[in-house]
Amino acid sequence: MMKTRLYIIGLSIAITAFVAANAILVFKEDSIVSRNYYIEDHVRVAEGDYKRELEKEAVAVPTTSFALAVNREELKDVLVEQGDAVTNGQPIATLDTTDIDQQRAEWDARSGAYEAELRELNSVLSTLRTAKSRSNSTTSARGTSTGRGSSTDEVVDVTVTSNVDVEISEDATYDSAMAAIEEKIAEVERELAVVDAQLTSTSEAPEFVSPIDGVVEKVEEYETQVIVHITPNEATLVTFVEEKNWHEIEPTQPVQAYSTHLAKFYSAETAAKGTVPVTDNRWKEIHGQFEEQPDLPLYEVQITPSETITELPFGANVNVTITIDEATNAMRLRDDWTIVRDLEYAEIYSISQQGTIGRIPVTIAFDMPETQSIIVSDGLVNGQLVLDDKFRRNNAPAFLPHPFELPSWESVKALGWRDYLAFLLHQYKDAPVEEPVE
Amino acid sequence: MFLEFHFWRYFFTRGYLLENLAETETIRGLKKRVGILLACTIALYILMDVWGMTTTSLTSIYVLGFSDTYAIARWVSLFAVILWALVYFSFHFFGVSYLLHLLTKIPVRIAAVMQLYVIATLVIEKALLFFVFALVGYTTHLSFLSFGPLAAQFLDHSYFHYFFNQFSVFTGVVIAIQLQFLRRFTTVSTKVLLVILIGMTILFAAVVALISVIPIDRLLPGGAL
Repeated sequence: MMKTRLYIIGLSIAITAFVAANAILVFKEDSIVSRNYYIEDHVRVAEGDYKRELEKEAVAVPTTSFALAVNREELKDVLVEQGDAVTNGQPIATLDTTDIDQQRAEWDARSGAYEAELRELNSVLSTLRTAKSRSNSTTSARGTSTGRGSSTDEVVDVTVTSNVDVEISEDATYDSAMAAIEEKIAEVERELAVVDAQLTSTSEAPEFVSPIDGVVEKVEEYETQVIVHITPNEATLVTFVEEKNWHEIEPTQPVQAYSTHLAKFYSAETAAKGTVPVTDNRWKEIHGQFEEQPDLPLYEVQITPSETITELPFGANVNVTITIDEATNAMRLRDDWTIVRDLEYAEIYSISQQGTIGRIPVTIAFDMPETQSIIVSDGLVNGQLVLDDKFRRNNAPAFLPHPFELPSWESVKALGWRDYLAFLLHQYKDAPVEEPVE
Repeated sequence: MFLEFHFWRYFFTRGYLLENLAETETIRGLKKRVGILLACTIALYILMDVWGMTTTSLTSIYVLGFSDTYAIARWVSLFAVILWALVYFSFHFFGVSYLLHLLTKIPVRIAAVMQLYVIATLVIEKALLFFVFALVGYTTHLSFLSFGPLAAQFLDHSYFHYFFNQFSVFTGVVIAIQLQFLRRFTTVSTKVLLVILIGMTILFAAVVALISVIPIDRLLPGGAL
């Protein structure tokens, strides 16, 4: 009796040890015993066009502003008031100067100076463009322009000096330097337009004319000067974003603008984004009335409509949708189904046409954090199966649970007896054996 | 006299069962127990097929995008496993009983009761494997209850892996049950009985391993799929 009991205990221990050792051999990660994996969760990717958009409120603002400065001693009379509409060439002030020729000579000189400066700035810009295309690590672009227009008369001495000194460090982008110079060019072009407008004026009376069609924004009177600000009728759009969105916005991103009051869509694109937070700006204040502004630094983003907006008053509210990222013929995947993840590279599990599991490298176009998904632009084909990120061996066969849907009667009739025979016997054939794990 | 047959009551106290079987002429309630065990066997096979572990070779149809064809294949596969469960049950219940009756002259009705316990043991083994597979989320080609994994460590050819895979802890239990019955109801010596039983198991293992290695689908007319 005692002997039998000992025998049973010994046998139990032996069997337990055997099963335990076997379990380790079979279920350890690098076991040489092949596996077939049960696929609980999968998706079939569908090709499509995906966009990531940022919805903002924007404000209609003047495209630019011309400041016409007249010295008090030369000024006789200001002919316009704030809010007046003016046309190109319309006198806005009469001058108290006896010698109209002398006045013209001065303007002529200034025009020449501005043109010289423009040429200089343009050459710096093209230097930068070449440098950018060469992609040198360090480039120094320096340009100094001094325009000295000395006309026949001794009184005239106009000096316009502008220093363009842009150091481009290794990390700095050429784009920001180029943007700064382009801004400067626009400024000089405005000055030139003002002067040229005076020169083209045919009036014999000494007067100051408006260079554009527009509105008198305001008239500022100082001790020595009177400055008349004139803005064109055309509006452009501006919005304000926090740093989070600042990084996502780049020039020439497509924008869909919509005015609710006009029920009209405008197509537009982003033009420039400010690098300095906006503190004291009336457009920012107005923007704050349309959209709750976070208590964070806000940066200006300029949006250029593809057609000029003339039917909106300045300060009008326009909804804009900025397309931050866009991918065509791409696939959307859950972002937690990637195995290895880099910014643009990831690996995912898929099933091959032979029914075996494989790790596939994919190229990620962009992330969509709002929907916890990634947009894959390359690496997958339409209709491919993608699995979750649970560890699976490469080349291991996979099987799925019974499908819910019933087959259509047409498909049932379409298959021949050979197919049915294959289905009947198929499951008893040797399943494809996985290749050894590296 | 007759014996009121209760499957589980006698499962662990087969000594009493053997005595009662020896003393009685008729067994009551055997058909019902056979029916229940057959139903359990079919149910287990259906569960395994619905989970998918027997349908690995059909997956490529789904991957290629033929969802409708795949659904048909899976329904046919479900029908096939029911057939297979019947074949499996019949083989052990009728085939092996008759074979042992021929070899050892054990009465057929006793052999049937014996094989009922053998099938129950084998079904429990399958259910245990299925439970573990469902738990870990994958199936293994070799059973962790058998000598297959051990053979795979030392032997290169997959035929031997599948051959040793047929010898498991439960195979030992099966042989023990059969030996217990045969010793009580035959006059053959224990040594000869052991040779018969182990020889039969080795023969079956050799055949099953051969089926596992031969690609049946390539022998189908027209190359099948």
